[in-house]
Amino acid sequence: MATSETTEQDLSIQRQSLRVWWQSGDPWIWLTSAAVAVSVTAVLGLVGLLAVNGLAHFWPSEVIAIKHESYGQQTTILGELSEREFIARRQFLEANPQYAGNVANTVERWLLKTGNRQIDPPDFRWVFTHDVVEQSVPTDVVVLERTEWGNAYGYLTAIKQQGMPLETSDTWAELQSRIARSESIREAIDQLQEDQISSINYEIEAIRLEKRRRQLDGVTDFSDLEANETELQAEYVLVENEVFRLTESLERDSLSLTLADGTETVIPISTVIQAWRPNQMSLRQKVGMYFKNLWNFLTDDPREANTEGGIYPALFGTVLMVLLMSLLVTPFGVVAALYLREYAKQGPFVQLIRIAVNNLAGVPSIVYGVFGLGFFVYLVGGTIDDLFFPEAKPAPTFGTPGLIWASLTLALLTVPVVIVSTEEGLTRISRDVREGSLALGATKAETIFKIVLPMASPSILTGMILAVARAAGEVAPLMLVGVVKLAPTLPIDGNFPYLHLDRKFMHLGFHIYDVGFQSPNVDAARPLVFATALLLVVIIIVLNLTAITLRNRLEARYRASIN
Amino acid sequence: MNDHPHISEQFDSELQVLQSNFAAMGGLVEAQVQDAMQAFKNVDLALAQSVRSREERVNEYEIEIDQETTTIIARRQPAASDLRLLIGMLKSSTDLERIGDEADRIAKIMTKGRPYAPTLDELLPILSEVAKLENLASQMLRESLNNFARKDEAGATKTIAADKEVDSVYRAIVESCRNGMANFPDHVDSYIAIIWVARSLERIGDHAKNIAENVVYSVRGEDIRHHGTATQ
Amino acid sequence: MTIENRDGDSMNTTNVAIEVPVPQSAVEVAPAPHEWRDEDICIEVSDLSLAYGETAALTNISMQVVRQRVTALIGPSGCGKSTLLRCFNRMNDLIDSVRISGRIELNGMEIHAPTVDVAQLRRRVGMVFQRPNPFPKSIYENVAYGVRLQGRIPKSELDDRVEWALKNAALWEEVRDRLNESALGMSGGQQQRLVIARAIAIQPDVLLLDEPASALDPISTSKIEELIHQLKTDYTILIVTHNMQQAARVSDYTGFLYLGNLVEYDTTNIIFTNPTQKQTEDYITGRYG
Repeated sequence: MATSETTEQDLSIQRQSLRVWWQSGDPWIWLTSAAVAVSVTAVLGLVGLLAVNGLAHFWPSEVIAIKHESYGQQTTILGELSEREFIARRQFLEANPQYAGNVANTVERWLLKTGNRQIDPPDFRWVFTHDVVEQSVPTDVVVLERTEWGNAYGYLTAIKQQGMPLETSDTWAELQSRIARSESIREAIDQLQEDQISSINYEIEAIRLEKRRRQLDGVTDFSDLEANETELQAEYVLVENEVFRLTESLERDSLSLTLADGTETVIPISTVIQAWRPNQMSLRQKVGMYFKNLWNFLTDDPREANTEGGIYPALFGTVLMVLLMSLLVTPFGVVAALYLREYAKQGPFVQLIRIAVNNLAGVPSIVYGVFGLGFFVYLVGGTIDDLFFPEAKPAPTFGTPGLIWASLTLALLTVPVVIVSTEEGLTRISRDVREGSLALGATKAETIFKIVLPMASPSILTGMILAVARAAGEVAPLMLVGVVKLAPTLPIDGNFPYLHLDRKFMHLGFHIYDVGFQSPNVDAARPLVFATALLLVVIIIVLNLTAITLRNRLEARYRASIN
Repeated sequence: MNDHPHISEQFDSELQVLQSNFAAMGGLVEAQVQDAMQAFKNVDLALAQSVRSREERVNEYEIEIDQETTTIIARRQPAASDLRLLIGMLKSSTDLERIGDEADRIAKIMTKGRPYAPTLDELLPILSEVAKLENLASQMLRESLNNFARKDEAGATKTIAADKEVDSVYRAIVESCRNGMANFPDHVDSYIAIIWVARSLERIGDHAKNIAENVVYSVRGEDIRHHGTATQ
Repeated sequence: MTIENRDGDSMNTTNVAIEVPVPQSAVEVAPAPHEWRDEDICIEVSDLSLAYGETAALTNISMQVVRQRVTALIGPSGCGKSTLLRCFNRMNDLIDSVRISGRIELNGMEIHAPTVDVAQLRRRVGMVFQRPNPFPKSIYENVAYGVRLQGRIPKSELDDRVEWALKNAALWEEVRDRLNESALGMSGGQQQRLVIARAIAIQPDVLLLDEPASALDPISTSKIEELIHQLKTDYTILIVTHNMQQAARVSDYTGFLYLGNLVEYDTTNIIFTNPTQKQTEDYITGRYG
């Protein structure tokens, strides 16, 4: 009796205290903080995943030599360990029904990057650990990064000049110096091609177009142009000869490499970008090389169908497109918001427009892409071509996807954000300040431009931040209006007018899609996908942080008068 | 005048307390005058003594009203009719205090002055004049206090007019006393005492007139003082 | 005024005249309405009515505002005093649904005439608002803003004008060393004086003050009131205030508005000691009828 009473009392106290706890509002704090914790974890997890998977790619990891036996056959392979995996015994046996040996409950297998694609594709290979007979880390393994066929792994045996083996005491040092030589020649060739040949071509093309224009105008006198053209063609031949000469001298050297299975292969040094011996490198050397690789990733052009090399054009294209988009969307959005808020008579019609603008933000982005293609590219671009570039026809100038159309399409996509945000900023500016200006004899326009707009600038910037964040991550519409897998030239170069709005460009977002899903060599491309994704995230963060810093400064300046 | 209550009830009750203090002071002063005259007529030393002892209370009332008025002006910043009422009351309380002084002075004639004999036959006509003067002055005092309490501006004007009669009765008494002193030099002390009393009653009339003038100011906002000297 | 020495008759034959002091007026007394001359009138309002849509805010207001005097408009909230004030620089034009009838003449010029440029009118009729509303610019730029609107002006001249305005607004000594700092860093009282400096920098004829001290502490309020007192030697000032004591302290004339009507308009002395209208009396003494 006594005990049951106490328990009942205890229970009621407990129930009481639970209710008190519930009423105290603590559960809400827990719930809300849990939501924040989940969000933060998700973001950090995302960035962390990208970083771990993407950044490891640039590390010069050690190369192991593995002697393994499968189905009675012994082979030796050299390669970098790129992945470990455990699979269940049943799964293993289903995949390898002929396997005769004892199988453990779980089987471990390694993915080795073995390279040497020109001889033995693919350049990745799975090895079951129970097949491994011998495993070692040979110190003299050489890894070559090449302009084609991916990496090469092997033992350096000789350096050849014009096909003849070279007698040298220090083959390694000799190799490095010859790689440096070929590097400098390659650079010289690039220089000639990018600067001189392309600008000569550009001028020849300009002359062709000028001729065509005159033809269309009915003029038949091309003498001045032709003289110029001959001169340019002569110059072109000169440069071309120089390129031939350099290419010839580039092909002077080669090296011979002994592969894991003992066969020998000859690799022209002209294709070697860098050579290193990972198993001999100290930690410091490895760190140095890591950052060099990272830097090259950011600044080099892509190679081998984008699966190797850098992403510089995509980086450049993304940033340029976003900046151009900001330049287009900000004035447009601000002007629209000014009209809606300051000049239009507030009523159901303006309210309707406002709702329509808000809803525009919800339209799927691919729809904007279709609109951009149909309206900007074909209609506007086609009209521009008809009116201003008839000489280039039938090749389109602006009537084809390009930088300006991509920027305009994204500007259209993000303009609702800017309008809404600017309007919000305009409404927050107190009537007091506007009246203060009007009472001093300022007109409405003077008041708007000298007082209201500067005070609304933090909100305008907020709109821009949101627009940039949206635009930098957008891929789908871009595929229709200007982004390509591989652009031959950057949208900015040394030829007048320097910024070529009609050119197609590369974009990180599309690059990720292309490398990740359209590439023939999935294993090689995977780290690049992660690295590129990380870069895209970082760019968006940097753009946002810049804008946020700027906004906070402006806000601090105008804070006290926004009531 | 204004019958609406203030938005601040506190202000109303402060004014009420002040007005009732003023009324109480008026009642006290009236009693003082009455008792002093009673003592004079009956040569009642004890009564005179009690008048003198109550003089202190009159002074206390004046100080109290002064302080309350100052406080209300400082804290409420009254305007218009409220301001005029307070100013009127402040000034009238001074007049009341002076009336109290006059009553004290009458009482003092008995306690401190030389002996006099109010029963002498020769004095009787003058004493009846004095009684008349006393009636008139008391009447004025009572009326002016009533006017104040009722904010009766028309009554106040009548009260002011009554002062003329007080003055003429006073002058007649002084004249009679002068003749009496010449005819009955033995009774000079008594005559002097009568003159003193008459003089005090005349002053009481003057102060009552001041109070009535303050009523007019409080009600109408018009300063009617000294019009006789200023405009004529 | 002299009187003769009474003793002079008997003591000596010369009349010694002595100076008898005459009481001075402690409070400046403004001329009563019946003493106004035509040239004293700066603003003449006749039969002014104003409605927001169907709601009448002002009904048949007629009044004259005396030049270089302070005229206060008092009344309970919603009585139309701010609306009336905003009629003088046509600030009510900003509201769409406003309908105005009647005349307002500023120095004989009808301000609603189609030939009147509102911006020009507002340069002649400056206004200071209830809450200090400096622009988010430097102190200097705030004062220079209105001047710059009138056209290009040499830097030295602008400097002089800014200094002059700040001195007249009794602010120069406090801010002379930080003219380029943000005006938003000033105290509320300083901001309000800055706004006054901004208004007088364009040298208007009339200053409209819409509850200029209602958001300020007592010391700042006193400074503003002292400033108003000094400014009235150069400007015609109209002030709207909730604070009756303030109206009593600073103004020469007071108008009492109630439900859109100008109930009583007279010298401040009369309004605050002996108003004729019962509504005024009730309002002044803190009663509600």
